[in-house]
Amino acid sequence: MKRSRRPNAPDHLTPLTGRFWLIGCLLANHIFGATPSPPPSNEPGAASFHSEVAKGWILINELGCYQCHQGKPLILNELPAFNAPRLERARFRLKRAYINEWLEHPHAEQPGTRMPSLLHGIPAPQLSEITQALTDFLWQPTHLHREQETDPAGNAIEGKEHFKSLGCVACHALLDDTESDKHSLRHVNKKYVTSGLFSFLRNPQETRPSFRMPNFHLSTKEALDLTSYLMTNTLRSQSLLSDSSDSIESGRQWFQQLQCGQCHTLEENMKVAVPNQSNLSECRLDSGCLAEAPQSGVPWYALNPGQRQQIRTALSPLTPSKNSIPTLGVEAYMETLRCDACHARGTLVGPDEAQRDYFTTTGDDLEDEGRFPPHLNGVGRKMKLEALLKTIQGSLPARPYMNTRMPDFGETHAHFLANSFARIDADPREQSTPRNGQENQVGRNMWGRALAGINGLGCIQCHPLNGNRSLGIQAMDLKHAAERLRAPWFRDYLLDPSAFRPGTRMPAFWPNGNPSINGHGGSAERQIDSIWAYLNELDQSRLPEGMEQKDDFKLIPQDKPIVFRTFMQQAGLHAIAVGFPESFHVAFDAKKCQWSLAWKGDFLSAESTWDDRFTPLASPLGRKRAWFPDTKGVWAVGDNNDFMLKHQNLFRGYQLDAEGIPTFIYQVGKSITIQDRIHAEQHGITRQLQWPSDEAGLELLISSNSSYEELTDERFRITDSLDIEIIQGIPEWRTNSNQSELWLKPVQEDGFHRMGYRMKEPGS
Amino acid sequence: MNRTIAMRLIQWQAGLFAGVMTLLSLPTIPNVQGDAISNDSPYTLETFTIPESLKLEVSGLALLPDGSMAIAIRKGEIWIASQTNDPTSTRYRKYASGLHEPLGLAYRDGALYTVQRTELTRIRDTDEDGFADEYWTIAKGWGVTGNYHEYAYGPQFDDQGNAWITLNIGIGKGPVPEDTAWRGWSIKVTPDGSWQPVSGGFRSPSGMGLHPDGGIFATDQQGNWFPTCPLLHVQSGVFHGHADALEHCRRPEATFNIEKNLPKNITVVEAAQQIPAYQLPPVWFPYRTMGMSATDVLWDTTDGKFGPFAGQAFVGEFTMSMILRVYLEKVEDVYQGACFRFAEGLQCGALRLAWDAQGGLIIGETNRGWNSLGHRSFGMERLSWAGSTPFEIHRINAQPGGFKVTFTKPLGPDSGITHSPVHMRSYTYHYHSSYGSEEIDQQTLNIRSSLLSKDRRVMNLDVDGLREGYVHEMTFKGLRSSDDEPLDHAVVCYTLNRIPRSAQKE
Repeated sequence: MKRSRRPNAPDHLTPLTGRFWLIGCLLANHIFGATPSPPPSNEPGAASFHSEVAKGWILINELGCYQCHQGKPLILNELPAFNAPRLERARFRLKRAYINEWLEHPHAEQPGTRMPSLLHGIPAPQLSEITQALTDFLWQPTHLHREQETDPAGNAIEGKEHFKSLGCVACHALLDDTESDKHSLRHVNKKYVTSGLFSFLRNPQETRPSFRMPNFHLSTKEALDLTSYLMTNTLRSQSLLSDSSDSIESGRQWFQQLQCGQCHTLEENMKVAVPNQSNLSECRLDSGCLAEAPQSGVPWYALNPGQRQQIRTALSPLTPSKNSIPTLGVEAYMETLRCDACHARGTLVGPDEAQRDYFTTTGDDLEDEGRFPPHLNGVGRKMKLEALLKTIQGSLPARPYMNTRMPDFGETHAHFLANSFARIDADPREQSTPRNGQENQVGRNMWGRALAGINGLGCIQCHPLNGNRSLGIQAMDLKHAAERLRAPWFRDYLLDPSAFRPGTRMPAFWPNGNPSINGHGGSAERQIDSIWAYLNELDQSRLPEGMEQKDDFKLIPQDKPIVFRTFMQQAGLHAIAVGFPESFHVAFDAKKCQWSLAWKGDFLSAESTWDDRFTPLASPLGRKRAWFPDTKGVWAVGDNNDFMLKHQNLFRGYQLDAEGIPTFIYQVGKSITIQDRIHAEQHGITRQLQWPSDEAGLELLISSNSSYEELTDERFRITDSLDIEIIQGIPEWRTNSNQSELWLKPVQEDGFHRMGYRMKEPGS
Repeated sequence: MNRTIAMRLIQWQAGLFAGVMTLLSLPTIPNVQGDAISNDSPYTLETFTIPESLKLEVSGLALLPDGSMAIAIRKGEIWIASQTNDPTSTRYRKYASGLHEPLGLAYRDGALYTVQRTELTRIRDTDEDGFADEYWTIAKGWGVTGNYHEYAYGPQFDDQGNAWITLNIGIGKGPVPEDTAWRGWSIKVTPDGSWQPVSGGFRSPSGMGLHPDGGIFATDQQGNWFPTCPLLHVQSGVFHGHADALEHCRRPEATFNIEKNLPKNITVVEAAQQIPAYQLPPVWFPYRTMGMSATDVLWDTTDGKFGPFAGQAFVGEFTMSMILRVYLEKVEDVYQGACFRFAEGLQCGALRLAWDAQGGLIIGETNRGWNSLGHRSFGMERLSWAGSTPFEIHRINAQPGGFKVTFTKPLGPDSGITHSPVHMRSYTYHYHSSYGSEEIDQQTLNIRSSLLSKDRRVMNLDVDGLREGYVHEMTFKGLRSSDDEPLDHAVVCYTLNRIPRSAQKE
């Protein structure tokens, strides 16, 4: 059964529309003494004064003062409208108990929130009745359908990493960081249901269309991981709230009486047409909402003294020009959106020392230029307006190597910021480029292509081009230049990169404005314009020289073996590969001092060694043969398999014989110098070893497999791709952990211990 | 006028690049007007003609006893070039191959030595057929994780026959991430083949040189912990600055130990006061003013065959494709000194320097992986002295209250020194993990007087406000020699680690 009842509240809170609001605003006189006088505009204090004015207007805009007070000043039309969170879907996303606590003490729950406390000063029993009623009202049945339930299968550990790397830490403290003065998210698990948080993270602007929280365009996995991380906190709501929804009507009345609908939207329009409040320009500046401790019944925003002073400064009749947000306003606005957590501009210095560690890059040798978001000084002159708009809306990512993600701040913020940047940064002294209408006299695509290539200025050494990897470091893809940059800036930047980005490693290719190489248009202006032309016509152009065709790096042993040291799969970082004209090839690990790899077919590509800055491991071009057991370089004396474990093998080098075949020389034990040589034949390879006969007669494990077949006394079939034929020494089969091990003992000859065997394909 | 461009033009006119460019396009190049193409340029720059098939990405140079030049190239080969005094008719033959990115080359006692990624190797031709057949591993065992940035440079031999090697730090992780031993350190291999770490804190020390006094010096690269490129004195127990190298301090062989966290928000000068083993470099090369990536160091041991700078050092510059000059002096047992630009406009970044038998400077070049000015991506050039004296600042010596500036030629009568002939500012850098540093704590210095010696070759600058540890950058204005030439290079940066307490002897 539903009960409808009047809210039981103190007398001054009876729902007589607007009455309680009026307290403090009724005496609508200005208090001039509380506002500073503006210094003349050319004095040193002028800049900070204008900044204060701008901050005041931004705050008035964000707090939504004009939602209740008449007379929205025209100046606020310059700023995007700030709307409070939409509440239509609150019941699907939030936890009831939290709403109750939140309405009771919003500033205790989230210090710094723009939500005013409307119920302060009300004694506890009545307070919880009101908040219960409001919660019931927000939870009333709706025809809106619930978003899909999400399976909270995210990985909280990865979520924490995303939190650090994507940029959440720019504004929010890590959950376990209780010291930070950044916005804490320790409350979110008591505020949100899991699917609600997931939905919010995927599109924060849906419920908070003009708020600061931007859209990171998270993948489903990222959003799930972040949700899991944020829900790991164990805070629980303290308040006990019945699930009853019997006070919906009472809640509706409170919603209207408190004029929540002036800022928040619901399915039904709850906005009061003409709130009975003083005109904004006639408000008292030292009382009402702006009092240090507003009376019960007056919205309490918990502003700090500085913020109250900013509002007073903006509204003061002594403040000149209420027509336009001062130029410094863009910085104040950036502070509001926390742009300065990542970017520097003007007086905003960007991330502080503690914050800098969170910026990471996948392009290791881009270092700081690869991990820190760029400064925004002059960005309005640098970038095309359209590109700025897209960038602020997160849709023009140009730095894929940067792990921190430029998020989407939404269209309204983007418009304000992009247009402000363009207006403020426009430089009247800027020389336009002479390109218009005279392309042939200025820049030529073919010159630009030549300049970008390896026989020109070599732009492609560092810059990828249209997705094609650059030859060295992988800096920003130059395709972005044409879509993002303004031509005059591009020219000025190339002439003196460090003037725009102090410390950049981008060389000045036109020192003192002069070409560093000849031709291709001749003058700096023509050369730069040629590059500009080429970059703008990239899609229809040939790639530059050096990127277009790469050398063939295939190594082909012809008359003699090829000895080739490299980083190599299986053979390790100390690998020495030997390729034979007979199409069998082997690789020696000069750290472990053992043969690691044999293969048949093509030998190796030298590209990873000769041309790729990032030196990936080379791998055989032919088919690998599992011919060498991984002995970890262990030799044995008799039964003593531990003999070699006591000493690290020591690589001593190699010698080439007249045919160019290397003999590897290494030391095992304290002093035994082994000579180890492999050469290829038509059907396999032959390995021969020797060491001085006055040293111990070592035994060598040459094969290990689950079974074998004895073909003759000297020839064994190990697998269907390997026969071993002993050509010198005494073979002995031993069983070790279900493996049949073939050991070879040396024979003495000419003052040496010697052994040798062939590895070949069966049937040969 | 720009003399080095003039040098280039001489070659171009000689027809070396006739197929590449036409003389018609010359007038469009600014800064090169009629008088620039003069034949009395004190130095001549020539480009080596290289066989089409030879990708001569020079990574090591070693003069051989017969006057030919051994050249290591990055793809792992060693070539022997003969007749290097005539770059257009030089002959090349392959001597060795299969090496793993050798980044240095030295000749000693009948063998070549090079440092590969994983070892120091001695290479010989034992059967004297002209092609190396013995690759002997002299030292290995430093950490190799497989990260691309773990370049290993050297060797530089000292007078006792020790081979010095410098090891880069890795940037990012390699396939064997735990094998990092001694990355960011210099090591010394004694003639018996044993080796030990010497100093730590390098980033990418791509060039070493032997001072005539016997000391080993190395350059390093601007980047994290290095505000700009330095010239470092490699000595046992010294920390050069890069914090990644500190993880090896706990190894028993380490020559210094820094246990505490490094202080933050300090300058390099403060770092030298607060971090026990940290040593300021003898020379900072201010970014862009003196290049962007210093490489090889080569002292002028030509006894005047290369002009008037015997005993000074030349330093390769990669990104800006030029050669710098360094004058070092020792004040209270601490090295410090001045750097100057010397030759600009190379065809490619300079990685290696060597003297040839005639006292010409062979410049080995490559820019694969890191771009440089110029129009070639590899090659070799030869800079030689044509016999006339350039008008340069020969050296600068610190004095108790200023600097003594010595010129290569007497100043002319109208040298404009009645007014202030020099603008001087001083600055230092942040010591921090960020990439590079701007010039901070800048001051403009008041020159109280600038007295000229009787022979008009020496100018004594009496200066207010010298600061120890700071770079003192001087820009000379309006000076002309007695034969009425302007200074070839009017900017000099002196790193003043110590202000002498009494007048310096030279």
